Amino acid sequence: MAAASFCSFLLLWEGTVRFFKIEAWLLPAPTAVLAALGEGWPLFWKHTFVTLYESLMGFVLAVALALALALTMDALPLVRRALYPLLVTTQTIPIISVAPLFLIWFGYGLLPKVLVVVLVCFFPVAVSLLESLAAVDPDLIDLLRSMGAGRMARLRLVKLPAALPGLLSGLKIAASYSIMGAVIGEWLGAQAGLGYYMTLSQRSFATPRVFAIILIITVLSLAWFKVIEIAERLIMPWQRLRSEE
Amino acid sequence: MSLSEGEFVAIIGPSGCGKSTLFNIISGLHLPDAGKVFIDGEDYTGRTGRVSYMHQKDLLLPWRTILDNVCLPLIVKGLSLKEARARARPHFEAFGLAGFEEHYPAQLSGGMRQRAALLRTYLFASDIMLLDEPFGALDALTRRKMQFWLLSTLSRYQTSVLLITHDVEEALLLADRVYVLSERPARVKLELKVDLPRPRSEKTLTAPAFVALKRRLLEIL
Ligand SMILES: Nc1ncnc2c1ncn2[C@@H]1O[C@H](COP(=O)(O)OP(=O)(O)O)[C@@H](O)[C@H]1O
Ligand SMILES: [Mg+2]
Repeated sequence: MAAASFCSFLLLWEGTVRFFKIEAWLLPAPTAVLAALGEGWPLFWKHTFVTLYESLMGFVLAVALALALALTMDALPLVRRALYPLLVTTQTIPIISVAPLFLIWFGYGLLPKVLVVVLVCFFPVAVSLLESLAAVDPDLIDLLRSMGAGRMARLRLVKLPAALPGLLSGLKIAASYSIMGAVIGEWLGAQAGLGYYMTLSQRSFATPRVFAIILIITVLSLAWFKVIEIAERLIMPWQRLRSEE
Repeated sequence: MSLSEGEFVAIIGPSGCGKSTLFNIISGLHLPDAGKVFIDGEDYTGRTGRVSYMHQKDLLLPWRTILDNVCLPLIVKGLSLKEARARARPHFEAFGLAGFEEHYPAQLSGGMRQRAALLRTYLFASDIMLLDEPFGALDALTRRKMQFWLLSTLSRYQTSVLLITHDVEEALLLADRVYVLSERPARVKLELKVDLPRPRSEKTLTAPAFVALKRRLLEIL
């Protein structure tokens, strides 16, 4: 169904552009976008690689930081109460508005882009893990306590596995945001990457190329999402069981 | 209140009177405002890890197979997964779970899940078990079956059991003694010896002595 409606949308688009003879710099037809992609693929590939690298670095860094913070906050209620409002507040600051600061502080290299990705990915992971750790059935924890299990054993045997589904949905969101984060970082100033290439193409009115880049960004974000989804199914076979019933 | 070695004692009381709270205290999860818990003459007040405690809910971990679920207490005690599995496997037959070792909890019926929870409880500490309404969530038919199953299984093990129930027949069928508790704050309203002969069966349910005891309990409740 989704595939059918998508195809008819593409056909409509193609037809409209051809019928009204719309200029390519204004709105390129899907075939023109594909043509642009085919012509310049070595360049596209080079910039895609840079963006992918930044987003992967940022994602891994963000996940590591988020896990550390969420576990600390969960273990120490005082830290949780002190930091949680802060965590939420930082999230209300639009990334676009602070990213230029990174440029001032860290220049035009790799670091500011990775930092933007970290900023975008950190919050969904930290909050989803924090919330799912807090939502673990207290009776389960009491069961382990009644067996004489210590803090670490409770975390390993019950809290972490119980929080895994929540964590993974946070990871899925973060993964699909990570590409966007890297692109935003590159918009502000870069020598390579899809965001840089996009600004460049836009300035020279190479609109088919802009569309091709949008296509690449979408496909990458979706692919990221899928990777986590597949990992989810491999790590948690019991989840599928429940939905089968 | 007391529980002797190998004895089966049931506790009946109105809902909300503090029966589960009592178990939380005996198991060491909660500290009592007054009173102490002695096991074999030793003070166990506020100390966890001595008696095994089966909650009203089965509390099976959905991400572990049944075998690994019942292994949980052994793993907490420091056994490796391999040792724990080897220790748990032989009991699956007696607990009516043979063939379901590698199933996940979601694939089992309510009665089987409850038996799995009971096996996990048994594997933790086989000498003293606290059972909080273990069959409360089951339908009447399954519950009766489980009661007879527990009766025959326990006759083969040397286990002291404290059982919370709101089912008068269940208490009389299973127990050697029954404590009846009052409304909150709970006091022992009645202590009743159940001197029905063992082994007990369906016939016990209709024996005159059983009916008389049942009438007595229903009157006081
Ligand atoms: N003696 C008591 N003193 C203070 N609170 C009590 C007492 N007995 C029970 N409660 C409270 O009453 C509530 C119900 O107790 P619970 O043990 O769950 O009842 P039951 O298992 O008998 O239905 C709990 O919140 C518990 O803390
Ligand atoms: Mg209760």
